[in-house]
Amino acid sequence: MDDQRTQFLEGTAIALAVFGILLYEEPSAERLGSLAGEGFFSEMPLAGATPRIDEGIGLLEEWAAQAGAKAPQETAAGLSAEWFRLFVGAGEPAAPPWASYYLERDPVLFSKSTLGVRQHYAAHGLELERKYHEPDDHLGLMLQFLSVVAAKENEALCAGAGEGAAALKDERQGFVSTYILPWVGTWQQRVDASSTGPFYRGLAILVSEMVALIAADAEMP
Amino acid sequence: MAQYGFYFDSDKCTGCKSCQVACKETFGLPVDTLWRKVYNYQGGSWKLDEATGVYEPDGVFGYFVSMACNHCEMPACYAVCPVAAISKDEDTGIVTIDEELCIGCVSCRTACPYDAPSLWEEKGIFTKCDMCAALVEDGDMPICVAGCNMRALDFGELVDLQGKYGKGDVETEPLPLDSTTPSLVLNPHRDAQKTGTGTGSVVSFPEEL
Amino acid sequence: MNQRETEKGSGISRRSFVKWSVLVGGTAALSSGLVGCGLQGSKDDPGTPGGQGEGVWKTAACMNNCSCGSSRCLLKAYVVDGVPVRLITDHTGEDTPENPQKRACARGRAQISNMLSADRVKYPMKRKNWAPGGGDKSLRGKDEWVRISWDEAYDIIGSEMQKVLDECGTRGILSTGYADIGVTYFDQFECLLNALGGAFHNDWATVSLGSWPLVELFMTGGFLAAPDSLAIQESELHLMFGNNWMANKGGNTAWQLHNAKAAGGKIVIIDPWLNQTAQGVADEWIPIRPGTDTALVLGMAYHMITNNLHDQAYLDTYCIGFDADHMPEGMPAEGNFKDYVLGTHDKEPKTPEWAARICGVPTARIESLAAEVAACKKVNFFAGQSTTKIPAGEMFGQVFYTLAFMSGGIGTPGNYVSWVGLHEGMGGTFVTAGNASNAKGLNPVNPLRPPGVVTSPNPAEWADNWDDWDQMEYSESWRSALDGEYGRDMWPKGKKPVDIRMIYTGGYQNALNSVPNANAAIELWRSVDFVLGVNPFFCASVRYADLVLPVQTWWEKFEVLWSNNGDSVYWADKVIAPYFESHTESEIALAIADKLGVDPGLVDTMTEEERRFASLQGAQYMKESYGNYAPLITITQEEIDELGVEGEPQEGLMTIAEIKEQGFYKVQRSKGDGLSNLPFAAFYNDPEGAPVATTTGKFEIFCPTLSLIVNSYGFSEIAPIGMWQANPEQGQGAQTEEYPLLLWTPHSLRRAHTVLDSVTSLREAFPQECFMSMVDAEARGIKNGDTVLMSSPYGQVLRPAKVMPTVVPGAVALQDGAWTNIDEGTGIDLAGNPNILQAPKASGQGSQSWTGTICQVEKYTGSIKLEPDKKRALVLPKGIE
Repeated sequence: MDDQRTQFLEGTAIALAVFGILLYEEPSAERLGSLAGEGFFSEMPLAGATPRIDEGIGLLEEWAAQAGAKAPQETAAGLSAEWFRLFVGAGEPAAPPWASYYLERDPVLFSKSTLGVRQHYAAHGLELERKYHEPDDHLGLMLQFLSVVAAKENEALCAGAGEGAAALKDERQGFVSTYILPWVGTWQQRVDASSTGPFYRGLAILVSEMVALIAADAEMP
Repeated sequence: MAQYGFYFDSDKCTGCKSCQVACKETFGLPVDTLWRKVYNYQGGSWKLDEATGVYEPDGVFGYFVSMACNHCEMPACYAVCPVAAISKDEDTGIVTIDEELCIGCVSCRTACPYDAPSLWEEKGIFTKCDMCAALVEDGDMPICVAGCNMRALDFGELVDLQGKYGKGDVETEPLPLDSTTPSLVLNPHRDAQKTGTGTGSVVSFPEEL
Repeated sequence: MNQRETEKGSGISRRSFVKWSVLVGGTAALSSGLVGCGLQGSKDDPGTPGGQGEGVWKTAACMNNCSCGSSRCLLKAYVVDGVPVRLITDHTGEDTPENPQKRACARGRAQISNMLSADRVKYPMKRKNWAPGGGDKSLRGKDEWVRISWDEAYDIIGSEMQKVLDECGTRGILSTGYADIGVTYFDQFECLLNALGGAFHNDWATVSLGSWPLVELFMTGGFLAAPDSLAIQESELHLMFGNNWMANKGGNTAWQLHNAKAAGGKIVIIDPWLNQTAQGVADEWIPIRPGTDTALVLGMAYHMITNNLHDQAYLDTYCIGFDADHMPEGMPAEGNFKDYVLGTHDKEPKTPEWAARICGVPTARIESLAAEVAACKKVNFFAGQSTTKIPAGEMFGQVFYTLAFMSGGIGTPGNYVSWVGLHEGMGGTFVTAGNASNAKGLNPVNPLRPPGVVTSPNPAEWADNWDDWDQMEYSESWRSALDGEYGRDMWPKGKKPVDIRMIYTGGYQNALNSVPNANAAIELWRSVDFVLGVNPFFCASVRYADLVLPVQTWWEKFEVLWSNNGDSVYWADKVIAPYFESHTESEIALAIADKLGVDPGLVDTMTEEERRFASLQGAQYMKESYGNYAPLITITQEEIDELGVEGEPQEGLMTIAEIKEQGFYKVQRSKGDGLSNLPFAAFYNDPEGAPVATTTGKFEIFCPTLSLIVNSYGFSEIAPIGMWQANPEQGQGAQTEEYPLLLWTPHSLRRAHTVLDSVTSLREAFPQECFMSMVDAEARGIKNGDTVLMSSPYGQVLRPAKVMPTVVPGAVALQDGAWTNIDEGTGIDLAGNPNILQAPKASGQGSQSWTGTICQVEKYTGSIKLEPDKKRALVLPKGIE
């Protein structure tokens, strides 16, 4: 068993799950409480993997320091408005987080990309809670999905099922290349241009970098 | 070998762009990529009658030309493509760009007298109308033709179209002189100006084309 | 050396894993949004029987108001597991003038992009800086938004509304939706408002029909008389004032005009521009200054009279008021039309020279046109609705009908006079769906509605219960609400007070965007205590609201048969699941009714099943002869029981299964089928025995009923005959040095009014230009494509100029419906909504003067960079830090 590989997969799985949740969910005091204060982000799995990852971590640490001095409710309220404006929108959000928006005729949600992503979820026994009402191809959901796949791949590896692990790796890379990679850079730039604070700016950088790493299946340093 | 072609009646077209949008929406073309576009060519001027203050139109006219790819008999695009990504089907005469082979070099666009190849920026390649080849194979009409609100478009074998409508005249402003034998029967507008003798201009914005 | 560096060599610290994984509740845990399902996938999809990859065709409603009921077309969407991936239109079967395919226009083709747009409202939300009573109201339109729950939304709405009701009753609420809800677009919130006592509405008269309703009614005794598409083929000459049918009416309307041309008719279009329709079908275009058609017709009348070209016998037999010999009893003889034209009494003969100075049509052409019309035995007189959307617009309707009567033959084949265009577009019901909105007749009517005559209050009765009614005219409504009073001093009890505390902008309306003087609307939106917005899209009206609720479209609501124009009915399938958290109008209205203690039975008077049943059961088609109807749909007792409704079985042409499968029914026509109605034929054949329903029983060229009623409103003053009047503020003659141009506002195929404005492929096809004449552009150093600043006394917009030879000098055009997008720094609207420029000029019976606002256009030299609309420049408020 390749210890480095395991660590990569484990770390990836965790990081992806966290990023996915932070993107998909409306910020809440509960979630944010453990992120505020020093040190959390710098201990992120894959910290140091690329200079850009560290840049993202730096921004998040900056946020964490500011947040640490405030009440969690206040922090959550501030981020909530930002999250809404960036990723949900009164009408169209500033940085739409859905694959269809970029991959199909814009600015449509729900398209062939949505169906493709849905099929991947279903193959793993997963579906969107708000299926049919909200798009399956939300970046936050897709990251969480990738987290599940990475964890499964790790499980397979640890159980000695090399072929199964390889298949999962292929699926993961294919999924990323098809449904995320082509547009995540554009999305990250839109987040950067529209953010008023370091949290989502930093998060978007991390996400974008992570996606690139996964696509290339790079190892940790 | 048959040659399919389009018929377009400029004398009837009202520039509604259903043809353009139907194609675009069906094939999910991104912004700036069009496989059919509609030109509005206008001309004329105005004379002021100083005594009455009334402006009178002097030869004012306007008409529309809807154009996709003309699947020419001698396609200029085919001739210049450096990677042989363009082919002309033996059975239908339809000219197609192979997306896998295209390197986005712009040669076809530059060579085409009708500006048919359109850049698909994200893919970095050129794409164009393929006469809805898949539908045509099933015996259907291209989407633009079937959807025309004024019934100004028709489709079929070029010889049949010519039999039905006559030869028409593709050398009508704003189109260029015929150098590629387009598979198009164009019925000029009643006020149409012959290519090369035009006194008008295309008023459509570049962003519309 | 920090901890991370020392750990590099050995991999990630276990400690960080723990910290992070705690956040997600363990590694690889399902967390947010994804749930487990069987590996097959969920069974509760909205109607897709196949597995993944397999789709079904569904009939997708293209129901948006595409310019006044003139066309609805067929759309079918291929839906795969709840996602519509492809759209087609009617393309099979017969396609002839008798039985055309119902092909969608560019707008219909783009409906998937519209319905699934990222621009749709997703969740209930409130303004970040909202507080009870409004909070900082100046931030409306530029505030940030915060998602809220439905419960919180209803709590807020309930309490804010209750405050208003307690303080001033329902009159404190301005609702921009139609009070007495229609058949197709029905919003149960209006029922709630009616049940509460009726809200203030600004739907006096009409934004659509201009001054035509009372003119046609009192001069001819009828309403919406028009030839159908087969009938117009009989005409030899089509004299058309203001015709851009391709953009205004969509669908097959322009093609049917072409067919009439192919059948031998000559098409003459009189319009300020050689528009797209005219470029396609006109044999001749006559440029005219916007809003001056009255003068043109008077000049033509003069030529006809002085050359004895008019049909005196027709006038003598069928008309009142043409000349002194045919005036109604008791009326001054000199009030007749002929003497007015000749200038007998006012010493101003309405010669072609006189007319040319006003309308800009050369004298010689006025004369030859008059001669041509007079010489032709079969003339189809048509005038677009917009021709009367000018101050005292009734004047044009009056002279228009008069001209047609002078030409003679009205009531015989080929001779028509209408402003509708094609009978099947509006008023001609060859087939109709049943009344899904109010078949049981239980929808409460608006108690505040004044007694009416067509769409205007009835001055003969309105004084009886003066304090019991309230209704404002559209274009003055914003200013009136801001000023606290509306109407005219000369009303029976003078101006009426208005005190608006809350605005409801829902009911399929986008009123802030769609009514003249939009800057005043913004001011009003920012002054009241509470603004509630309900719309599928984040359009301009809801953007300036305090609280916005997402509402479903007809792609998501319940299945129903529907119709709007008269030649087809369509099935509305559920194409998609409700978008995000959007609710139906009835859900919203019932929840608020609950908060306010209103009987739900008054708010939502029918169940969905009853509505579906009513739409099918009440569907009728015209059978064998005009006006003879038979049921369209066969319904069995079993089907009635299955729906759980009350009703009787019936026999029709199609079963329910068939209409669902096919998705539509089109009237089947053929020449001589007995379904054509020849307007006024009965009167023509027997004027004594079959008089028209006017006060005199004849066509009233001299119509004191009309002028009396219209003059009672105080918006304009008109004569019983059609007389030209210039207006000091608007139209030809009102131009100033500062505002030397006249604005008119055609429709655009980019939108159906304001709907579809955000669709990229449509923005690409139609850039929302300032259309201007090459003459005016040259004088201003403006080239095609330059960014120009358009200014009027009421606002400014920034747009690219489209400089064309085909626009009459002195006039500019801006198409209706662009979503207002004010640059907060300069106050300039970057989207080009013409209502930012439009004067709030009420007219006549309560129509608006959309045509002829004075304005200026200059080459823009400021710092704002205007990107093409298709690039979708995102303008989102970043919020106030």
